[in-house]
Amino acid sequence: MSDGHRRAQAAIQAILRLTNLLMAGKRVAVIGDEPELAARLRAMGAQTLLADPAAALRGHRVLAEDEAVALADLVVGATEAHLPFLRDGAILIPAAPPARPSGTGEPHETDGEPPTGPPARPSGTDGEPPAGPSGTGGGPSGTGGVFAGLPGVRVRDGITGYRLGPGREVFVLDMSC
Amino acid sequence: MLADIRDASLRTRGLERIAWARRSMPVLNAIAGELDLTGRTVGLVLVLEPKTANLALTLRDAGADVIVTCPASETADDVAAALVSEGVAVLARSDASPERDRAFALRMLREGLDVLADDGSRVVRLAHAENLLGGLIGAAEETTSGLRPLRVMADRGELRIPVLAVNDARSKYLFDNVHGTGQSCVMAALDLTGLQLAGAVCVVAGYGYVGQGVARYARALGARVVVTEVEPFAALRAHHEGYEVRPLLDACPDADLVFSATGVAHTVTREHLRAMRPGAVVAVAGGVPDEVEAGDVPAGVTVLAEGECVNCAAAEGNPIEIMDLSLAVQALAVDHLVRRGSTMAPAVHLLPEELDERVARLKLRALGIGLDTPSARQREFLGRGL
Repeated sequence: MSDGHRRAQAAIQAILRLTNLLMAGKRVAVIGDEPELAARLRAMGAQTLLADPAAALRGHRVLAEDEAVALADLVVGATEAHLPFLRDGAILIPAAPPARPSGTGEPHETDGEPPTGPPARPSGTDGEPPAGPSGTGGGPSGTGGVFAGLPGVRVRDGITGYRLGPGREVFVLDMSC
Repeated sequence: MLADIRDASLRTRGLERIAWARRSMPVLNAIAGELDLTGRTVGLVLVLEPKTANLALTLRDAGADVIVTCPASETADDVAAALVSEGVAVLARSDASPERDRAFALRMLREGLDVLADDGSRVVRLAHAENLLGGLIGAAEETTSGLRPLRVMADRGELRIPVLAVNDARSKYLFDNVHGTGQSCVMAALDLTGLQLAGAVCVVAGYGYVGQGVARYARALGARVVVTEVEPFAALRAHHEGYEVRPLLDACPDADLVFSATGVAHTVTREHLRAMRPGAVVAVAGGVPDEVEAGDVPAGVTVLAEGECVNCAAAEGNPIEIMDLSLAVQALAVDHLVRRGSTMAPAVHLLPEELDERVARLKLRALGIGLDTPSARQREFLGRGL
């Protein structure tokens, strides 16, 4: 089985286990080259938002990356660059360092683009233990440095909230949980 | 206040989980303000987890004294502790024996309930058997498998209170049974086993609403899905939706994962289990006792969650947004029973259509989804009737 399928299932399992939310009907921006993940999400009933024009032929909605992120309930492969665009309540799965050798996967994969996407579990990105059961310490493990410098607030196991401004709070999943 | 829980110190984690669920429950939030349960005592017997805790808090906020009980296997101790800290009576602990669970239910009934929200009709039946109906106005029943015995009781003239069939509201069964149970049971089975679904063979016994959902989510994650049925229309429906349809015994040798989604005892028998290959995994979606004959499982075959509903017994239950719909129906059913129950015959009743539709419209509004309005010419066409 291709690693893409394995990572897709692992990411979906982690998202749903951490959030207890329904995938059907969610607007999900898939950042980076994750065709298997996008296909699985679409099959589960998510409205997938992708920047690759070819994705339109596979039933995804094609938008510029910042527009996709601005619409999304869920952003897979989020980075610091997306912060200004996120809507209130958005849930972020941080981009992780590549967890696979390059050159695998579908022929339409472009080179030159750094492969981003959800980490295969478990893969804390900075080796810190998870945030303690109470408290407001910033930078819990697994947030991939998306919010370096912003104080996060524990929401529940594996979810840290970040207030980006008045009436705008986003949630980062710790995929290593 | 009644309280028998396992560990009050788990309160903080429970409150966190309840608050996270509340964020995605706009329908329950929207109807909370219209309920009036002042001075009423309401018993809740739903799976005790963060979403149902929000129903308990909503009913409390509407003026009710709320008593929650739940069998050990479906009780989250942190949520129980959180509810007690919020002033809700809870008799539920994850370490309770079946005898103690029964004693909890009896103690709740002896408190004198006005309305009971039941799951699996366990407590409604217990109240009949033990002659503890007291002043109970009526009950709301959450599940397909709980309604079946109540309808049998009604047919025999043995049902003594009106029951609202929450399960049969469209805003419940079209979403909870299909998407809620479907997604959560498939994901729970994967979390428990580490099975990779891409390329695996998943057999789904029963193509009712739950089976349709399980089949859909297993296929979405890359499984080849085989459906088994006893009913010709359901079998044809599965066939036309692209599934292989075969007898269960014939499908067992190919299966990596078998879901029983029939809600009927003795669906997966010893003979079926013996026909499976080593490594096969069996799970129950929805479910009744003995749906899988799990007493004598051959070596190499695994039955998840001891044959209980895999998403309740082994994960966080149905997704939050889905339970928002189902629990909004529950809240409206409880309110309706308080207002009208004393005029209703002792029978199984459907939720009034306008309440069901109200839940669907509130959900659409929360999603920001608009509807078309039939034009004058369309209404005229429909009114012509020819």
